[in-house]
Amino acid sequence: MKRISTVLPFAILLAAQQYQSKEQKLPRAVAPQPVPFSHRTHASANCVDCHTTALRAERAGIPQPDRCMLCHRGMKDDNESIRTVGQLLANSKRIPWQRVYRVPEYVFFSHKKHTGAKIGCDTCHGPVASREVLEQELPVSMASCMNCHTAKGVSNECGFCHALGY
Amino acid sequence: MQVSFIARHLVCAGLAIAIAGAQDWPRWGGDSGGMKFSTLRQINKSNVGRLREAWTFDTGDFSDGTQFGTRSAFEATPLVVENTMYLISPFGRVFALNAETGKQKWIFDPKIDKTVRVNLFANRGVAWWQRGPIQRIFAGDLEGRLHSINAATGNLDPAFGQGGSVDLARDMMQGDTGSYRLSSPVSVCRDVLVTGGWVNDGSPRGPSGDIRGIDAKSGKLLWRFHTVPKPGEPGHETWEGDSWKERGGTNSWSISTVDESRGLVFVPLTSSSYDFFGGDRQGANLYSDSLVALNCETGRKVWHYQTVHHDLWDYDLASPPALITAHKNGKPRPAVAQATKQGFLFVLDRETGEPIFPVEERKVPPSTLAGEKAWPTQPFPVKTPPFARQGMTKEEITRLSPESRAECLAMTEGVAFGRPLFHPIDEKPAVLFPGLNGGANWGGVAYDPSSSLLYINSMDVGGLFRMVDRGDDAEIRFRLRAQKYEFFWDKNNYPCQQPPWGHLTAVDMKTGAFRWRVVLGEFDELKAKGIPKTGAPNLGGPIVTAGGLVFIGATNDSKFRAFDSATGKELWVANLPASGMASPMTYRGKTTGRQFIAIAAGGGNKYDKKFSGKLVVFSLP
Repeated sequence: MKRISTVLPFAILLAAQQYQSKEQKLPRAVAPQPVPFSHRTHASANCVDCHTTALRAERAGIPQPDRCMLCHRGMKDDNESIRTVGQLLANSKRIPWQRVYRVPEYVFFSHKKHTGAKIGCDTCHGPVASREVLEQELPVSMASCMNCHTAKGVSNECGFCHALGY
Repeated sequence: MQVSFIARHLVCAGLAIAIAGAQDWPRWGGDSGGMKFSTLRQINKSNVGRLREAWTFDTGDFSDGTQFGTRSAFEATPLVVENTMYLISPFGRVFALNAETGKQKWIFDPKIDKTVRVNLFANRGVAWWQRGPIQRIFAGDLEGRLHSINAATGNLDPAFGQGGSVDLARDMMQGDTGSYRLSSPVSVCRDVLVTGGWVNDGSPRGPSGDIRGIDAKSGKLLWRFHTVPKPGEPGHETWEGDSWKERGGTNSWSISTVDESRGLVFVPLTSSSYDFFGGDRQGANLYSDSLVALNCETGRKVWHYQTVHHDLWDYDLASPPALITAHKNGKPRPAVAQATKQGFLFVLDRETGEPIFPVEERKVPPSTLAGEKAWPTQPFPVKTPPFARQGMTKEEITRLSPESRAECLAMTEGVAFGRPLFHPIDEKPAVLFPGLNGGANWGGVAYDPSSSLLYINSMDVGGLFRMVDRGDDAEIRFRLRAQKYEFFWDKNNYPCQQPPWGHLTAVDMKTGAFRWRVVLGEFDELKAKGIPKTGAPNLGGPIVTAGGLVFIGATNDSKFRAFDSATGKELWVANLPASGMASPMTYRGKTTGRQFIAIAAGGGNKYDKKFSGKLVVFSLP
């Protein structure tokens, strides 16, 4: 019994050993979006309806006026925000969205690979569909990536994710 | 007045080195000129077979990446002065040991933050300086600080910098990102410490790589040489537009070499950042990848020689230059030998920088990347053949085992083979030789002045890469991505091309020709299967002794070897607790009169899965 009581905590500690990054203060708010947007309001849509390349490209893609207006032409088009988006479309301008989640430029992160591996969007982005205003709720750190890779038996070789050059 | 001042310093410095040099190892490269040659001959060809472990010292300092995210590499070469050994660990802790017993005298701990992620925990050594009764050990650390330590007590010298340390990182930061670290010993030239630094070169803008002269006594800055010339300075015209501004890289993370009598320091510089795409830095980019000779008391440039123009391959000058004597038209000339990652040996006149062995500028392929303009020619030394593989065909894929071959074939499906040296990396995955670590690396060369033979170890570990378009809005348009691993090898770290994977080569400095060339390294598990000697990836360098021996660890097979310096015959091999990826050194004990050979056997790095913090010291029984 004594043996179990001394060994067990050590075993638990080992099992729980994880990579650690510098502490991040979360949730982290970003600057107000140029056009108010509620993920909760749009929860009936699929993520890929707006983030159209999440299943087939490195970047998930952030919708621009042409995409928004596919649905909103004739739907709530008296709303001020929708009118703004419509004007941007008419003037061939883009919406300068504030990115909420971002990995450093020297990191290769492929949405295609992760969605292909059946990693749900909420694994990295949290419960987006229930949020009115999006903030960064989950860490996007080297440690969080490596811990997930370890758990799923995926490589943690430097060059697997990082651009080379040091 | 000036002459007598210099003469006095020369005599003092020369005497100190001469006295210490008789049986000690007071500089990283043995002597200031980095020959890595010892006059000791107690251990020689006739008795090296009886060499045994005399003692070991465990620093306890290593990191396998579990407790701290960064792994370690024990790359240090200890110094021995007056029977005290000075050894630095990957964490920057300095140990003073009795050189004959390994008994600890003192320890200095800079207390670096080990939670910070760096490429590796590594430190290649300390520097020693003496003026009269004052002896100091200078140790850099991974936070960019240079410490002046009393050699007798291990205490910081309060007269140096701020309480014994100088923050060398402080004045080097440019822009918002990056770090400045010290991973190699400073060079001592008279009373001046010449220092470069290790900067991260993953971003085009970042910390400066300027070279600085520091007063050894006070820590005060004496001079600063701009490695990226500013407007109005010679070489500035090699940077198009404002591309010179806040340019990162172009630093010297390796070891500089000193010619005390001429008052010159020879600084090997690296590529500019970002290493693999130069669309935002059109031009030849002086003084990247250049060997620069500076007056060590003023920092004035005497000459430079660029070994890669507009580098797109991270072909840093990683090897410390060595001061040698080469022959031109049958006449001896004071020279400096510079080995390179790309497998070339440049032999330059020490006073002018002119090639003693001829070099040709040859046309090389252009880049296909948007915005990139590769330099149309590159220098090729033509007298000494390349000492490393510079390309590979698909037919050369490994046949080591069916598993290894299958894995290597699978990862090379559709990739480009047969590209020549200096072919720019583009968006099509391609095999690159030499790989990012060379060729030759920081281990450098060894030179025996009695035979004019120069010894170089090299590895043939390639890369399998492509450039990835990060988009118009990215900080840098293209970045380098590995196809599978950082190196072109299989899951067991056996290279994907047919052996040999490592060599030791002796080059005759009278003719430039190879005198001999042997395969370096062998894995026990492959030998047991009857596979002929494969050679092994290696980092670290050789030393040569008057006993007719070349000693070298370096290989990632946990072995330490001695070769006949005249023939290349392997005469002795010993097992180490982990791979000895460092340069060894040798000295004679003052009390016992015994000759010792020491090597750091830390394993780790990116080449060994075993880690250790041990220094192993050998002598005759």
